[in-house]
Formats: sequence, C-alpha cells, structure tokens
Amino acid sequence: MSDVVNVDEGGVVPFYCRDSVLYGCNRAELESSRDIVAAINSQGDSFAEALESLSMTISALPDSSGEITALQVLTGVFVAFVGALSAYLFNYFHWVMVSKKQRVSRAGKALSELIEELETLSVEYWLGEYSSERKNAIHAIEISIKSKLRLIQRHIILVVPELKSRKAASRKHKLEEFGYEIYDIVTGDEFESKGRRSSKKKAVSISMKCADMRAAISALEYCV
Amino acid sequence: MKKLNIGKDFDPDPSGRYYTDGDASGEAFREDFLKGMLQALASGEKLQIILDDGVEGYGSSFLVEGFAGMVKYGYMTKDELLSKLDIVCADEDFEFYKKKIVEYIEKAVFNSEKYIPTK
Repeated sequence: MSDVVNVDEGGVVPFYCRDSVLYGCNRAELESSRDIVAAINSQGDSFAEALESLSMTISALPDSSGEITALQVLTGVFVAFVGALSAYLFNYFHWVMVSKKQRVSRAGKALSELIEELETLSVEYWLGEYSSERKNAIHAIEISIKSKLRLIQRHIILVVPELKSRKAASRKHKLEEFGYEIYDIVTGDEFESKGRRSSKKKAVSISMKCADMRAAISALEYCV
Repeated sequence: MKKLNIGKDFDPDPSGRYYTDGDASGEAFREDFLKGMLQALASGEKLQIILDDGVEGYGSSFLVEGFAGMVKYGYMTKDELLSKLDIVCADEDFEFYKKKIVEYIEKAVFNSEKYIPTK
C-alpha cells in the first residue's frame, strides 16, 4: 500500500492510485486504508524519535581524534608494559623461591646426616667408659665428635639466615638452641677425661635431642 | 696488650678438664697460663686470647674449667674477668667457642668452690 495516494485529506475520496491506474473503492476499504495509514504514521514517528535519540547519544560521545588517540596509545603501551613486567617479576620471584627451597633442602639434608653421625659416635662414646687399652680409639672418637660438632655449627649458620618467615621462626630458634645444647651435652662433664664413667642417661639425652632435631629439619623446606 | 695464643703458647690440642686428663687440660691452662697472665696485667690492660691459631676445636669441659674456673674458684669476678679478656679468632667457626666462653663465664658463680689441685 506504499503507493496509496490520498487525493483529498479533508474529505472522503473513494479513489486510490496503483501503477498509474486510478481505482475506486467502497467505504469499508476506505476506512481500512485510513487505519493502516494512521498506523504507519504512528510507527514512523516512533522510528524518527529513536533515530533522534541515537543521534543525540552519538553526538554526546567524546571526539576520538587528535591528542586523545595518542593518550590512548600510550595507555595501551603502558598497560602492556606493566603486564609484561608483572609476568617477569612473578617468574623471577617464583624461581628465587624454588632456588631457596632447594638450597635449604640440601643444607638440611647434609645437617641431618651430620647429626645422625654425631648421634652414633656420641652414644657409643658415652655408653662406654675410659680405658687406657683403648685410649687411641677413644681419642679418635673424641676428635671425630669435635669435628662433627664444628661442621654442624657451620651448617646451622648456613641454614638459619634462610629461615626468615614467621612460620620458620620457631624452627630457627630450635636449630640455634640445638647447636648450643648438643655441644654442652656431648663435650661436657668428663669428656676427654681419663676418669670418664659411662652415662646411659647422657646417651639417651643425646639420642633424643638428635632424633628430635632431625625430625624438625625434615620439615624445614616447607617453612621457607 | 699482652697476647696468649692457645695453639702456639699452650697446646695445639687443648683437651680434658683436669691435670689428670693430660698436660693440655683446662685446669693446666687456667693454673699455668691464664691465671698468671691475667694477674700480671696492668690496670686497664687487656689480655688478647687467640683461639684459632693451630687449634681444631675445643670441648666444653676444657672451656668451662679453663675460663669459668677463674670465677668459680674466686680468682676474680665475672665482670673483672670479662673486662680483662679480648678473645679473638680469624676463623668464623670459632665465633661459636667465643660465645660459649662468655656464656660459661657469665653463668659461673663467684667463689662457689674451693680449688683443690688434681695433680
């Protein structure tokens, strides 16, 4: 019905034109045509309103030409740089942590082995007593015990600075205390003395402290 | 400042507590070396003790008898002893023994025992 031509808007004109041919119409057809025209006009108004609204919205958008574009480019480059830097730092700190864990784990393993060797030597030493017939063997054990103690102390000095987290604080303190206590127990009293008696109590104490420390060391790498 | 190099002036293998344990015992160190040298110091003078020159290590029995014995047998108070000693070591492993010497001296009770020589 796009080619309907309303010849006289004021009155009733029962004619319409299609393909350059003038047709007549009855009243019902005329009323129907008017309804349709009114509906189309109404739709057209809504459409026009929508277009106007869209036009106003677009007009309100900021102009994306000139210096704003340069700023946007710079922002994009900056965001990309920050993203790349973050990824690099994350990767770097991840490997620093991995390397630290491995270092503590290796030092802890060596320390644990030394403690085990010290335990074996000292328990054997304190379960026996001084005998002039075995004085050379006893002297050899005494030298070995002192050397193990020195190595243990050296490893403790290596491990302790790595234990900086709050979780590791108690283990760090325990490790330091162990170094001092085991030295006093093993080389105290009648150590290196010709009057040394066997001491089961001391042997048990040494063994308990060493076992306790080895257990604490085994969990060290999880505290880093 | 006077110097006492344990490894060279006393013995490279200091060990044991009493004279009966050998010539390199803590008692021998205290009675034959340390005591005399400390008493010979002028007022305000210090005795430098070199711990690590030629020595591999110390047992606590030696250190307690040798150093803390000075306080225990009433030769001098712990403060007087600590003020006269300057313990040095180049090897950082020996820092441990240095700490232990100071700890033993600080724990010693002045004149708490009468000294009876073991030889």
